[in-house]
Amino acid sequence: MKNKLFDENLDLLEKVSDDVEIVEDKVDEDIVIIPTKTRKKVEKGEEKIMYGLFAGLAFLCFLMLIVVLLVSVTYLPIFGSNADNLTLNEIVKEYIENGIEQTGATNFVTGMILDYRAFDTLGESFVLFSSVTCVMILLEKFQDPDEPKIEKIKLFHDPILRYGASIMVPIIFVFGGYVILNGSISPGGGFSGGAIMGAGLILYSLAFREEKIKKLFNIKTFKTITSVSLLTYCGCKAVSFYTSVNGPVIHTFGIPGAIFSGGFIFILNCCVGLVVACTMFGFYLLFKRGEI
Amino acid sequence: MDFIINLPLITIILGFVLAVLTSFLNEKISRILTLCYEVIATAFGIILTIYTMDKGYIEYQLGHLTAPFCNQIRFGPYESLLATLVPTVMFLAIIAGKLHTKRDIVQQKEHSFYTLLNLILLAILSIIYTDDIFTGFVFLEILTLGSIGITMIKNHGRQIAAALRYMIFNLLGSGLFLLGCIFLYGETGYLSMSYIQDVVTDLFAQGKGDFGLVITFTLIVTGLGIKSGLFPFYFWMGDTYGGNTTTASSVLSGLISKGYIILAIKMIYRAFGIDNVMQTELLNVLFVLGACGMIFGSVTAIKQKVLNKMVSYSSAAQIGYIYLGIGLGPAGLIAATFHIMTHSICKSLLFSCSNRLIDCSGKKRKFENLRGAGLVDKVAGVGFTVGALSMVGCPFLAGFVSKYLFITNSMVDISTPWLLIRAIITVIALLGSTLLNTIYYLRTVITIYSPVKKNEVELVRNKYDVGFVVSTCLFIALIFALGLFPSTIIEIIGQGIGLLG
Amino acid sequence: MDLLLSRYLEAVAIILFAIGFSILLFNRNLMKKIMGLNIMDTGMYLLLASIGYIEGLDAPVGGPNAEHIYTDFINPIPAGLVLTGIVVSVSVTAIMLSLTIRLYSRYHTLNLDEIFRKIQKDEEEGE
Repeated sequence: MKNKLFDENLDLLEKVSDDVEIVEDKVDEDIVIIPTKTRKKVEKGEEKIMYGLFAGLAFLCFLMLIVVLLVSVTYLPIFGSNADNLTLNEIVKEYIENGIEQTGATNFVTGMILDYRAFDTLGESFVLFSSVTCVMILLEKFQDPDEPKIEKIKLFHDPILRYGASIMVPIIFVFGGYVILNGSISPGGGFSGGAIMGAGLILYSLAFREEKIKKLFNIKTFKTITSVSLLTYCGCKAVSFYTSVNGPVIHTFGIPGAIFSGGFIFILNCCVGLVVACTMFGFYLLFKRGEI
Repeated sequence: MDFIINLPLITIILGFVLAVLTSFLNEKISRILTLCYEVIATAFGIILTIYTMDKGYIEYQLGHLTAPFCNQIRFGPYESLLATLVPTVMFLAIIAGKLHTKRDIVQQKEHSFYTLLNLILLAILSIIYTDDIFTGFVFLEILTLGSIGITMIKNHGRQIAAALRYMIFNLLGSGLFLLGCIFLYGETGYLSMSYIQDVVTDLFAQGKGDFGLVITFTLIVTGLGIKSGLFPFYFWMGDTYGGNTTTASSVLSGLISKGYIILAIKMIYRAFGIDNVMQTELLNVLFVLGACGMIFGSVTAIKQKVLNKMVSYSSAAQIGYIYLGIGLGPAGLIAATFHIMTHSICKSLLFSCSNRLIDCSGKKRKFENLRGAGLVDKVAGVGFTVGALSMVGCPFLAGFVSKYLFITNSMVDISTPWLLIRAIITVIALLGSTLLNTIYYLRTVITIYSPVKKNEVELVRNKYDVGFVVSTCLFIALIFALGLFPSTIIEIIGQGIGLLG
Repeated sequence: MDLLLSRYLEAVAIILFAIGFSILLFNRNLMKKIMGLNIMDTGMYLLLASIGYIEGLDAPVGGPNAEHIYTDFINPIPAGLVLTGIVVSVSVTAIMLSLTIRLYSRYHTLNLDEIFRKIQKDEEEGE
């Protein structure tokens, strides 16, 4: 079948040397297939009784837990009403009425997580960082120096995915960038924007050849981007916390509603967005083939 | 405003920066940076303790408004003393286990180990200083992920299965803790501990909603209890602590479980208010579970045939001591805090020495293969003996002082019948647990010092390791210091507890 | 009963939490434990989101002019807490899944009891 796809792969075949192996991509061999059903038939009588006893006890514990928690729910404020609701106190008043002056962000939730309660968000970015470290410890495979390195190049025969992705991926990236940059003005922010861009990267890597992604995103880029973003975040917040107790407080706000309003919030949103996007894509690559 | 009040913030930010740096530097530089960080953190802790003994507690805002609008950290003598203990133990654990770390971990992944250690130290320091329940939750999760990471650092199938079981219990605990925090926010409207205490006191005084608050307290303390190994949730301890490399076992059993207990103490004393909690039965339940843990943990330890697992299950008994102390109220908290310090130091010493003794016998861990190991590796033998004697409660050592404090502080107030029964139960449980401890610890000490018979296993002489010798000497020095001159520490703890509420 | 019906969203969230908690604790299959973990976390987010809601008011995003009255908007605090919770849940699920992959490729079973039985057998043969 002569078409653009075949021509492209043909010039690939001409560059073949000893350490390259061309693999038909019918079934992705790196995916580990894990079944989800493992119930063994319990044959012997005694084991059946123990199993039944265990199941009965478990169900009783479950019922007790539900009853205790439901009793506790009756002490929460009534859903949807502001009568007798202790959560609507002076904190909410401060965040909404003086929020724009103090933080420069018209989105009150972003102002809260990146300015008033910024220490929690700093810890949360490090939760992501520590989980990437743990997954890399578990799943990263290192090249054995004795085995010769054979690069597997996959031929693609899936034009629908390619044409669809070539339309969708730019839109996804632009939308993700919009959500990150507008975090302080409209709903969105670093975390959701980062997740969208990560999804775009995964779609790109599924549809096109892996070498293209490898040039753009390898272990060095990943480590550089995460380290620089996290260090910038720490630096900004260290300065902010230190000056709010000790020194002169600098307010660098623009006009509320414009993109560069919000002082530090813009930088922090970008850092968080980059870290989340790299982390999502890093998880995908580690699960798929054991290295970034 | 002195510069000294900025020191906790500097320690925490330095921890974040070093965690990021060690993720891409090689392992030698990572180790040096981590050790420097611990020395700096210890020095800052000592400065802060001296400063806060003078000035009382200090509240430091993290953001341009104070609590309850922004986050806040709060430190007094109690928090500063604990913040001095934790980096010291971690420093000694790292240098004691350097040889084993090189041997057990693949070289390319060793720098990640130091990243995780930095994150763990940072998380425990933040939990010690925090004044906000949601910050406590976020750093609790960092501590959880870090502890899972160092459990599976050895990368064998057995360790990974142990890490999975440990993780499941940790997640159950975190889920309960977060649910309790959500209920607390819904019922009081604040996330900052001092303000929560005011609202809770009001609600208790009006008699409104106290059953809901009791369930909330129970959820939070149960969640933290599951994570730290309170009876009956201690079955994961044997696989998780035993069978791991030296530094990881010492940090896991000595520091991480204490981090969870410190957060539980802060929630009881700062967020709920000790006067409100004493009106409920929560402390009595903790007391009973602690006493059961002391007995059953020791019984499980006696049944073990492998040295590492025996030392791990004896941790369960010691955690029972600490919860018994918390259950006795403010008087017992002094004893519990002193025991936190004693246990961290002794347990790390015991793990590093027992791993060296196991090396002597060619990696076989059962007791019969360890005969005479103490005569071959003299430093490890002496270290293990001192640690074991301290756990049993020999005079002049730190363990004796903590048991003495438990008994005297339980008898401070015996006016009502229940308080008298409580004092009697404390004494009986302590004596019983001491007897059981003696059985399994002294049995081991006798085994490692008995001479080898002719036709038994050949013992190998271990490689000489400066770090191990230095750290064992420092551990022994600390145990003797706490045992012979405890009055300063007790005074600091007492003053700190007064400022805690 | 009327007390519970007026808080129906919180009650449903609690039941989801309890279901997820029981699956995580009692079920023997590793993949189902991970699903239970996710159900438990979902219940908690629903609970948090329903605490902040007040009927008839706007989402907490203001217009560019600086005058806002706090009775016009719902409570923004639980929304921020949910964000943190979601990130923590994603991280934890990633680690659990990678642990499951490693255990499956080593022991070829997803049943936790079977895995520990095999480990004990290996240990007894090794010592």
